[in-house]
Amino acid sequence: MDVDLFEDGPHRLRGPVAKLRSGQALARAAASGTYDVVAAHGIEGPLLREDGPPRVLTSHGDLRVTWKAHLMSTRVPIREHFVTPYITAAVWPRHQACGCRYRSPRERRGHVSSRASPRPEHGAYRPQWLRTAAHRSGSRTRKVVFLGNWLPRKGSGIIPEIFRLVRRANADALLTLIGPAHLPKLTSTAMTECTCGLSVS
Amino acid sequence: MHVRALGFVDAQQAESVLLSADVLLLPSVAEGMPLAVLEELSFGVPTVGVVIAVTAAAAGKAGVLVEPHDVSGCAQAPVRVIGDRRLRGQLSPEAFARVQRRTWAATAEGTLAAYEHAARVFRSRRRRRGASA
Repeated sequence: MDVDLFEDGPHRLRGPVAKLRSGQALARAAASGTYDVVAAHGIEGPLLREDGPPRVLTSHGDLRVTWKAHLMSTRVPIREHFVTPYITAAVWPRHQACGCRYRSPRERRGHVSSRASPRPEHGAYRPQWLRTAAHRSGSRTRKVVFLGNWLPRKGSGIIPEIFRLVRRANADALLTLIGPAHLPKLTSTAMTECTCGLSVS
Repeated sequence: MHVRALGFVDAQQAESVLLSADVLLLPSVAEGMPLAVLEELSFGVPTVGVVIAVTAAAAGKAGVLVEPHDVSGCAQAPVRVIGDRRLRGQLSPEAFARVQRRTWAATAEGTLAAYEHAARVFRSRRRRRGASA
């Protein structure tokens, strides 16, 4: 199988422009008639011609819903087997530990240094049961974690209220928020607005 | 201190937090592929989320899912997970088991199978068109 990879545009063009470029690349790929299959990850996939080659959607959540809506509106039969169920599998960059020579495309182009990135690029999920068990033993504080962007669709609007109720049952419960750097300010605001009496550090 | 907002953290600090967590709270109503769930599963941490397809698929039986925007249900679930040692004993092994299936090899095989299937369909469609023309 030969694969032509249409990557994102240059780093300085990341964002809407890069996405548009990607959509144009996909459209050209479909129009050329030289491909048996076009793989699309973004919502630009539905822009492709209906009579073009089959498309493989490499996503699982919101984009899948978008695709389904599009296919239903155009009366194209929905083929679940065109949806790759789990394309994403990455956690913290463990490739340095495993010794493989993987370098992300951005690293290869020299856009990022070789130091460990906080963003997952390559890795594998490995059960950590021994370390987990050892780490948790002896700790009495109940710890709840939120990991992600502090956005309404992630539940930012209800998390303060949820945690207030959690603390009613577990007075020593601790909520840890991990996410973008601007999180503390937003969190403080949310916690204040909800008047739940929580202290934030 | 009841809430810690850490912002971006490095891998080591993230692992430290995830290792000691009792439950992941993710009342997200829209997700692509919730990496947060998968990362927590690798530490045997149960997830409390809402019933959307992608979270249900990622967490499976290692999660407790409630209806979207159900604040009360979202609050009761972590309380139940934290307080019920037996329930945690059931959820954590399931978390480890689920995460073991998320390998690059399985992902690559699934992707390749999807490509091959799509290519087969395309070729047969082209043959049918050629025959009818």
